Amino acid sequence: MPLQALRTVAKPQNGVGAFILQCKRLDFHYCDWAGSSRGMKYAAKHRQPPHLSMQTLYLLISSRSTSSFLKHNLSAFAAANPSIEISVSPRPGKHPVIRGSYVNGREKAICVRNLEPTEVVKKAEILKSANGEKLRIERKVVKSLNESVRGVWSPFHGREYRI
Amino acid sequence: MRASRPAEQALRLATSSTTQRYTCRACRAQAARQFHTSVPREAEVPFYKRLQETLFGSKQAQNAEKVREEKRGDRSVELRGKGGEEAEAGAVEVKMGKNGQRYEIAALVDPDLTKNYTPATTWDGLQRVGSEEWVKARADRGEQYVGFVPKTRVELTEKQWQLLLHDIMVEILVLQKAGRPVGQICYPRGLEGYGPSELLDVCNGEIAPSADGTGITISFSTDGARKRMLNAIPSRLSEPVPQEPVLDEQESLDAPIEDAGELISAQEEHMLFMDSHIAASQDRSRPTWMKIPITGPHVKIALAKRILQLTGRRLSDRALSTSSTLSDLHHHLLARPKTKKLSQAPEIEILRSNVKTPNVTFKSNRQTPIHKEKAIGRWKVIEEELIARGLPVTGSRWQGAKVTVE
Repeated sequence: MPLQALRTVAKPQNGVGAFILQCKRLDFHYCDWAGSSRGMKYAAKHRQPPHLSMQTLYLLISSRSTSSFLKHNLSAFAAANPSIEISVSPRPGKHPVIRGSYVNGREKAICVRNLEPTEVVKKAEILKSANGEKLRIERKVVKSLNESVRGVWSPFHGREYRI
Repeated sequence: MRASRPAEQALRLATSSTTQRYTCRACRAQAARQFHTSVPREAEVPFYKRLQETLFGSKQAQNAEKVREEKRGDRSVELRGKGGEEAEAGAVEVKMGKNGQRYEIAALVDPDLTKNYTPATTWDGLQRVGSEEWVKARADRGEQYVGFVPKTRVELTEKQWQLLLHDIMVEILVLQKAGRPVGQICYPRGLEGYGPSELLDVCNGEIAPSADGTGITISFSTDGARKRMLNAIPSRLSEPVPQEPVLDEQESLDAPIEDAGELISAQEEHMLFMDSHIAASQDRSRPTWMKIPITGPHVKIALAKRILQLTGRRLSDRALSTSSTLSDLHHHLLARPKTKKLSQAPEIEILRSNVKTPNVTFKSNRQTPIHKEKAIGRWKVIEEELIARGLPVTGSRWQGAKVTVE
């Protein structure tokens, strides 16, 4: 039998060639009446958080002291992420929520009730940088597509076991 | 009455806290004996009798009704004797109440006597006690009055507000210098107060701080302008006289008040006159006169009242008390009121029209699943299928469901 070549399929690795942001849409919902939407709309003076990306820090520095996320921070966030479709709509009588839609068809929502604008920005960043996979505990931290270098152990090969 | 005293005592004991007071056993026993949940005299009447009285009325009430019927009958006999219609038309019986109030007793109409009497089938046109018109007529006591605030609120630009403040300040200062109360600026002037010469006098007045810096000077380019202005502003309030003869009560209340219309049209004329002079009065755009301090609460109040009278724009107490110069007032007048809905906020309007963020969409209404289906074009298919199956498109077919208004 002639040697047959191994059929290999290109393994998709996001970011090796081109990077596709998994978050395709962010929906921001708020309530005009409820106080829990204050951070989304009208906020008290916010403090600078200790660890944030340069981009987020820029967003915060550029906003005014008494600001709201939707009024002042959203435009910068949207300009920084042109590939994400952003929709803002009221949801009367409910807590404010940010809902992210992903390429794998799943959705994730984070309730931002009673949060300050800086915290709302952080939650938006979390949703933006997530993929749509379910949150799970990672048992095996190291992942690789390559086969094991020295082979998988079997009882039939290797040193004989004697009692 | 003697029986009520122990009952009162018992109630007081029952309601008051007994932590601090001491009540002996005998008093407590007496309170328990004397405490009744029902009125003692009513307890004597058997239950079925009480029920009968509630449903059909007590004997006292029935007797009183009989007496009233007899009196009514007597009155109608009396009317027949007097001649019926003629007696009814003229007589208005007046009765004095306990606290000295006058009550007019309604005329008794006997349908057998009055041939042209037709009972009403609806209540249109009938006098209703407690209706809006009745309350208004009583409150106004039949007087026609002109409202102080114009019906429509006038929106002005920054330049127009500046000119308006300047003109009002000119008039106030002229009144002050003439020794007249500044509140007279708001007195109704009529059409002669808004003539072209009067408006020109106001517009040509120049306010400036005095040389020593302690006062304010006002100068006019035309002679006699000050005198004309003082003559135009009346020195006392005239009684409001309606221009037309008093109509029927209902018609007079429904008819448009022409005095107010004339006053408002004169105010609009003032505004248009100002507009035409904006280009010519570029010199007045210098804000030095706006930094002149407003002295005295009377001046501030006169300013606020005149602004309200001309534009319908109110200044809050906080704005008035914190303003010390005309520029502060100007700033408060330019400030837009806080919007109730986020979608009406100016920042969101900017966001909507921002070209740099085409990926942002702002919706003013709650997005329902129907909106989402419409966005992807699936809704028409769903709607057709629901109609085909005889199911409600929106809402439910439960009998108690709210009917949706389309």
